[in-house]
Amino acid sequence: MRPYDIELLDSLPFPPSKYEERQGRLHLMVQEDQVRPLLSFLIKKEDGELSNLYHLPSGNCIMALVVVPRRGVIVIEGALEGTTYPSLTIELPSAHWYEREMMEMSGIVPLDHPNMRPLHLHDWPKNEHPLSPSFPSDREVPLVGGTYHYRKVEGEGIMEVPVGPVHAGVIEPGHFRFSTAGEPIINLEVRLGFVHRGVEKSMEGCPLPRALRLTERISGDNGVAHSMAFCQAVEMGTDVPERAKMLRCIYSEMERIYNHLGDIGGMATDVAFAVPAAAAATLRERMLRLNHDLTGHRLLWGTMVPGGVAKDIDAERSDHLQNALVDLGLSFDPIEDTLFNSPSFLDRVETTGTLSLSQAKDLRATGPVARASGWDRDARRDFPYAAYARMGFQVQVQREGDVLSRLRVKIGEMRESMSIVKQCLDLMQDGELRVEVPVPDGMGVGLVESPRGELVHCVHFENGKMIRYKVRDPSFCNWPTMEKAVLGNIVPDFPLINKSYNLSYAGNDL
Amino acid sequence: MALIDVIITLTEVLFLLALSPLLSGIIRKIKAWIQCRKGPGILQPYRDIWKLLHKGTVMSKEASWLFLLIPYICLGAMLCLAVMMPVFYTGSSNGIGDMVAAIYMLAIFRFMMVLGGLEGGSSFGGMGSSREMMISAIVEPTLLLSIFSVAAISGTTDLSDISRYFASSGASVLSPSLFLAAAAIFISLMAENSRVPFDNPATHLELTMVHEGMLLEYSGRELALMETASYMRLTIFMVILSNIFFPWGIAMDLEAGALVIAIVAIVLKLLLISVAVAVTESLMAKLRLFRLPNLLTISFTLSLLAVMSYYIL
Amino acid sequence: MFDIIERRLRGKGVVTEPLNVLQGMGHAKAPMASKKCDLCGLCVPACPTSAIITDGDWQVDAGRCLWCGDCQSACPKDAISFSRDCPAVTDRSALVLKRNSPATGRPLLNEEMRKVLGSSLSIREVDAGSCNGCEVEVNNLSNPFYDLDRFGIKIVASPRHADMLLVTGPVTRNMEGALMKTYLAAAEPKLVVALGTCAISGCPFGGSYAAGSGVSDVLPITLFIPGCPPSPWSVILALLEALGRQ
Repeated sequence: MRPYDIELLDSLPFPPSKYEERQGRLHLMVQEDQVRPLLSFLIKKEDGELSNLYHLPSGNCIMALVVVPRRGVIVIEGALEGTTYPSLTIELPSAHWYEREMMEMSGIVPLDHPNMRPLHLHDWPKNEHPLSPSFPSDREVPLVGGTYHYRKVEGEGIMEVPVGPVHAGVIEPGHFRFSTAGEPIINLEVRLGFVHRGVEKSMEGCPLPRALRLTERISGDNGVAHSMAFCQAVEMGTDVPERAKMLRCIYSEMERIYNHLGDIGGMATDVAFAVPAAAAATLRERMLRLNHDLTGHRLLWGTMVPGGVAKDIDAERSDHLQNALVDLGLSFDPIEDTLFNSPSFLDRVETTGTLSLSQAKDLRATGPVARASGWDRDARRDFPYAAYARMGFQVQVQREGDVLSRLRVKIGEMRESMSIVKQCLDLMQDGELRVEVPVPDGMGVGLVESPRGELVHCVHFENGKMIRYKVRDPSFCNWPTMEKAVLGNIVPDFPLINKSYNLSYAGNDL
Repeated sequence: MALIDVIITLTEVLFLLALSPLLSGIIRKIKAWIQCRKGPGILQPYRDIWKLLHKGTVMSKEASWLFLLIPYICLGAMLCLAVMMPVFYTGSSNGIGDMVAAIYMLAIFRFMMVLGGLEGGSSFGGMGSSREMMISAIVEPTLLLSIFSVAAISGTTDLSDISRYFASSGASVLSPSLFLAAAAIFISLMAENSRVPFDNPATHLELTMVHEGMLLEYSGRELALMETASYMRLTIFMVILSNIFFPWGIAMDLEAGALVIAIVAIVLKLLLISVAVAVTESLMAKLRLFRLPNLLTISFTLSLLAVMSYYIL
Repeated sequence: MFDIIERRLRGKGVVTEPLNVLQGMGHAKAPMASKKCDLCGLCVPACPTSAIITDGDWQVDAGRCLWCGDCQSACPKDAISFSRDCPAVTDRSALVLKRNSPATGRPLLNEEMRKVLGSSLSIREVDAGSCNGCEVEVNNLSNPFYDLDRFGIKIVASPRHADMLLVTGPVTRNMEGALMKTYLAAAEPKLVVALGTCAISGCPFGGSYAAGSGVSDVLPITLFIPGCPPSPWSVILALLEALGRQ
């Protein structure tokens, strides 16, 4: 990771009681009441983003990870005296879900938080907190009654439409509560947590090989991104071999390609435009088969390993990959043509589900969603990892923030991904695939641009044992922004907006 | 009405009942072909219905006896409508095939289906029902007007008589108003039978559903009846288009040769319309819900023009 | 607009794979030790889900296997390979694969089920806590390559229309109630299928405070389809075999 900008330290509004540099990150140790002003400064004045926020039981502090493009990664460690601290949400809306999560999972109460409802745990007793060290991971917690209070919208002709958790299509479970006036949506509330499997708790004390397999399955379609973030976190700055860096880029771009192809086809499916949808599905299947030919797994799981990569691409396969990508580019053109020359399709996607730039920034959207709203952020360029620093690619940015913009961003990114894979294949030299990684200790961070956006894994080791593992999937940031994007749209357009976002439920719920 | 007429009419009804799942199967097959897929066999709808007839019924707690009765009324309405249609012989339904009655048979079907959607007590049924009513508010007058225009040309509202009039007058009857009305009917056919761009018969998205939304709560035998009734409705619309507007080939006398030609003619026409439906469905995306009235208004305008052009030209 | 038809007429035609090609791709291949194996036991701790036992003879529980290959790389003798045919089964214990034991038989539903559902099957997919890898593959079942529709098997929108619940995931604490409700909403005759490793045994998430250990704790299961995630062709083969159609 690129080291932080030393000037940043001088510009802080007040000096931290202690600071140090670890693996290029700037760690600021402060008191609990100093976290909010410091974060406010970094986000509002320095244009930073809150990328993670969680509680670390050992040392009883809250950890806030802030990324400031061009200046580096900053970790604020706020030491707590008890189990409360002044809430950040009032000033920084992007902290909203993190604080709710912290409250139920670790029992740390953000005072004056505007919305103290649980997030992942349903019908859960008040005094149990899964991430507190005294909670055994296999404890069976009985379901306690109690109602979850949805935001109420009242007025003449306002109807409440509950949807889910089990949906009609083949998608993951989540509950959506619409308040509608006829067809237009007045309010949407997303309630998730249905696929909460206790990943973070399972990771505690977990041996690394097993943990690697778990991370691949946090959100299956982003398995490469998650396992790479895990590897980066436990490598703690160990330099991996050149060839492994290139292969890491190739695998993550292959993952992006098949994900984006699925989303493009999915948007066509959701507006009943069956022919381009079927064509996109065909291309995606060809990519999945290509993945299988290259690595033995259709979703590319099992490619990453701490210290490098587990699967190599030999010369013959590399040719195969080159040809397949050329072929993909040629076969994709007619699909794009059909979509963008169809007035009925364009009418569906234009101005649908608009997320404004200020909303995206306030709630801290990430990935294609943020870029479609005009926010030029990409971890591959801003915090380059693997071999991305040497790759030439254009970060795809659009302005309108509607479904069409997200579609354009995804199409553009797919083409850029194809070019990155090609560059990697051209630049790749023979060499080692992996190096031994020293026994990890202290804190490690993995920061990866997954197909859905910036993905962060934070890990803490103590005496060689994993004591806290925090995953922050990009979907966790983007879900709250979707509640804003659907406002004023009509109910039958919701599935399309949802598809253009294509968020992970499993990654969010953990 | 002579006994032979009754026999012919019953044969026609059975013919439509037996053929309608096949037409849906053919439409699916053609759509699959356009998507480069193999697609299910054209007999699959029969297998689906057979299976559903052998399944049990589950009902939501909110539903009443009406919920179970509705499928029978819906299928009954379609069978009545089939009786009114001239399929191979123009004389078979003399005097009972009034077009206004036919339109209201469709209205009964729609009304009952909407009630069924509400009866299930789920929010998707309610949404489907409300959308169906929105669509039907424009489709119904369109249907009436376009059939009025052919009624005006032929001077009668009896479907068999209209059919006979057109069949006997040959090419001289082809007028702009006939084509305008036919175009309006085709748009109504797509709208009434929940095809793309109005609705998507193959959708899995509960929030976008119109017709499917109303069927979500039905299961087993009741679902089989509702599906059959929906297949029937599509076929009957095709029969209206082919035998009221372009009834060439239909038998006007009870002769074996004429009847054979009539059967071949109607099958060919139904196939042709099925292809047209499948291709139309493949060419475009579903419209935004609030854009539907625009397209429906076009079809209404077409039918209005049809009536006006008859009186002006 | 009409370029869609034009392209179709000029294009390569139907891409759907014939059934015999899918049969050629075969079932999931589970890890199996060859004769070279001397039961040294190094693969046992390497397995992230403890699926391997070397007491007496080498055996692996394909219902716990993640298909990750960690056993393969741990083996000093290179004795383990993904070679054992592992079809879907109706009996959970048949997924425990032993060395030198006969291959498990094909799954088959009872005659009444086959009679009613044999030529028309409606599937309702329920995600009860999967990582969405299985969802990716279930969605792929409808792509033009596999085209599940052609077998008269379709994925339907309502549990009321369903004959089969295809359940993925270990059944999380938060999904148990919803899964039960979906099951009760389907009409008889109906069956439940556990798709993928977590639905079969809960691995690798199972046993935590938030996730159960598979669907069989909650519902009676008729068919287990192994894989992590199961490939589309093995799902199609499993369904057709169970329906007695091949």
